[in-house]
Amino acid sequence: MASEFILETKGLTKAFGGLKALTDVNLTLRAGELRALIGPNGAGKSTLINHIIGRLHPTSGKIFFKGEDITGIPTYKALGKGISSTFQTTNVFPRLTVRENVWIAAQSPAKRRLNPLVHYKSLKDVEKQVDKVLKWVHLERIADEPAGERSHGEQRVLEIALGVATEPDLLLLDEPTQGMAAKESVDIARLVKLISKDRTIMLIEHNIDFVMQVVESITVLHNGSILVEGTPKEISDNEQVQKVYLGEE
Amino acid sequence: MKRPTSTRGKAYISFIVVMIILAVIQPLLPPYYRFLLTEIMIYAIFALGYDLLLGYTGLLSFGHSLLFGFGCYGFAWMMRFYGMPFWPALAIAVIVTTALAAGVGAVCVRTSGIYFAIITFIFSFVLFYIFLSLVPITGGDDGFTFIPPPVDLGFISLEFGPVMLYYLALFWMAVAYIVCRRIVSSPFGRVMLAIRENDMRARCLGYNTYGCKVVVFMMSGLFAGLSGGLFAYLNHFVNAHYFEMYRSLFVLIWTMFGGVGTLVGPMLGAGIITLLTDYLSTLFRMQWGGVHLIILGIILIVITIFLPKGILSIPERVRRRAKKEA
Amino acid sequence: MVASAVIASGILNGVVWGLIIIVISLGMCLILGLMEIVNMAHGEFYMAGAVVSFYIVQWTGNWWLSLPIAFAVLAVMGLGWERGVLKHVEGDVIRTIIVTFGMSLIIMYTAHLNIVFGATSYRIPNPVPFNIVLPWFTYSGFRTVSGIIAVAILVALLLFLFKTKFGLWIRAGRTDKEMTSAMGIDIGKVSVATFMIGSAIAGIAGALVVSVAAVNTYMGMEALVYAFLVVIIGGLGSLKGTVIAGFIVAMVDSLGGILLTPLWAKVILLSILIAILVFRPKGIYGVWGE
Repeated sequence: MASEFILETKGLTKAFGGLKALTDVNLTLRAGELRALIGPNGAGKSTLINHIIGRLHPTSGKIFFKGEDITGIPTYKALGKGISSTFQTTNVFPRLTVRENVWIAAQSPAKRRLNPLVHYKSLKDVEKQVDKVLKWVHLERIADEPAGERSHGEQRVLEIALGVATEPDLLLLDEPTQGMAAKESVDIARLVKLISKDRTIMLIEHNIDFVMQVVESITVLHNGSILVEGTPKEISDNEQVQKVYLGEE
Repeated sequence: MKRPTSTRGKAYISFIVVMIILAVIQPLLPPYYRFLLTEIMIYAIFALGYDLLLGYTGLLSFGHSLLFGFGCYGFAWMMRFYGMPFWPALAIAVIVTTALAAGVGAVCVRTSGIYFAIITFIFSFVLFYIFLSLVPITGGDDGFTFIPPPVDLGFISLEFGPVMLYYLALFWMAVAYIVCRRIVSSPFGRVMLAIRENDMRARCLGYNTYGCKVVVFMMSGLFAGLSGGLFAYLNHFVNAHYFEMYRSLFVLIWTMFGGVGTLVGPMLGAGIITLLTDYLSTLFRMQWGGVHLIILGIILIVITIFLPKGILSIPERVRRRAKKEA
Repeated sequence: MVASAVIASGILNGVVWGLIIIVISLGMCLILGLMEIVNMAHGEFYMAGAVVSFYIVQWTGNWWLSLPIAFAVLAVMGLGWERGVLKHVEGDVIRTIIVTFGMSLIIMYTAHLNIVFGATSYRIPNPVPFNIVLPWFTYSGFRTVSGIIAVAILVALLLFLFKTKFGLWIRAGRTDKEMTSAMGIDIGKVSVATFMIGSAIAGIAGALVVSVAAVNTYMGMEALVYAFLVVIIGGLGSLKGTVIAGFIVAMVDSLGGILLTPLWAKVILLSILIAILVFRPKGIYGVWGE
């Protein structure tokens, strides 16, 4: 059953005991969009992402991906559907090299990826993918260094590389520029725009400059519900949004 | 780490060399040490399976004594109650132990880290007690013996004897090593490492880490069963103490001492520690019974604190220290 | 003895044993909750407490005296192990478990040495000269006293945890280590003290059983398994869970041992564990256990 939206949530609600983290969220994403999810702390942005990848199960409501109901899907199945995500706190494989990190991500969709009998290097298609991704993110020079020893900025880039290497249809980025200096954020912005060409991206960000430069559309979350949606220009002019961010609510 | 083909070739050559050395020195060994070395090679198989679980997948199990014991008894029961020949009995031992590992693994692997360690500990301790009490089945403390059949190779039948046992153990150790090496360098091996380094991330990258962990547990059970079966054959005797906790401890010490996550390390550890234990227990006799275990406890602590990657990491540390000072 | 008397004393035994298991398990739970350390040597601390008590009784004939001494000795021992060994593997959960396993080996087999305790079991003669006479049977005075002391320890521990400032720090640290530290409390010192307390109460628990259980060098491992069962069934990190699970485990063990056989009691316990793992991996009140 084809849907016009690649991602759609219907009435998504999540309550933790008495605390309502998400209330009746109806989010839609069109294929190929580059969307930002913004809002003050505690608005429910990460909670929403966690629902999409199955780390949290909603109290009520549904999530549809490419028209298919994926509500409550086990996390590892999300990738098989074409959803990949990166994390706010760097979440790589620390003692493995950068190349090995990317390999694991790139190997995931491959056939024979759980084969215990062949040598892993025999998966030439994976090797090609790894080289391609490393080049994209400019991490070739440190490819053979342990990931955990690299700088914060490099690890954030690796985070994104892991998300991209699986060739997802939908890539969710949770605060890709978290903890980065201005110059590094510019590089990330460029990278995000580059990888957005073939896929749908939704990112969470607090860095408003980044958001304004990079994305095409914005959803503003506040107190677990969607406050307003629109283009960057519309959002920056919106008084409600300004109030919410300045904390006058 | 990207291994240029020359290093891979080197590893294979060293492996072949070691196998040849072991094969050749046999006639030179006094009977006591021949027996000890045979035991060590069987233990090495056990250690290999354990390293797959601990070294490569990051799961610390205190329950492997259970699997080893099952391998021993699987084999022994087939001998004792069905008079089976060698190969089917060994196969049954392996299958039964792997099946047990699947069951235990399916329940235990949902947890990880300390939880997993505790649960495997409980399982192996309680089941040891149960097996010790089930005298009609296990023979309890006294156990039972059986007549060891010859190993039938089709064209020739090898009678049970110390020389044959030595080469049998050597053969299986070689096979076990090759298989483990393959597993570890395979795409599945990559997943094992991913699970070890960051289970949650691996899951988000699309891997069914629960299923994979059960499979690894089964693999380590397979090798435990194989080594248990061979061990029972070697001694043509089993008793409930083959399930005892200390075997879990020993396999852990061998692995940590030799070098966790290297496959070779645990085999080496099995050899050195067994020889050391043998030496110490003759040195301190009954009066001080157990001193060798105190020493092993100390070794374990010292290694875990100061040499967490085992003795195989010494050359690399020396190299790194030298580089730093350069 | 009449059947009902047997069952009644079985129940009482279960209660007393339950109290003792709870004391041991709470010690483990405190350490686990605050420091995330699984102390595989915890059982050996219990055994050490029994050995210390045994010797104090041998030398002074006074069992009551051995209780505070066991507490003190084990507190010092705990301090020694924590600062001498555990400190070096702080933060690395797997290595910590391995190290504590090594510790348990050393303690167990040191006690095993003939000059220390040896391989045989002993029981000290009953230091409590009276028995509790109930309407239809007599119950061991010693067990009663042990039970009462165990209750006293639990009460003291609860008062300490919930009514004192230090106890508050411990509880705060269990909930959120970083936050507590950020509020200026020296988490390091609190952790060490917690380890000492946990070990010391395990030691006293050992002293409480010396006239009932066989004091031997293997009792530590056994106690450890019970403590683990309790902590898992009750839920890692939950104090309430530990108390409830402690009673469940002890009752099953005691009553099961009487109504069926000790073997069946163990089988049932194992089945409960499996059931928990399959249906409720977090334990009854579990906070952890993903």
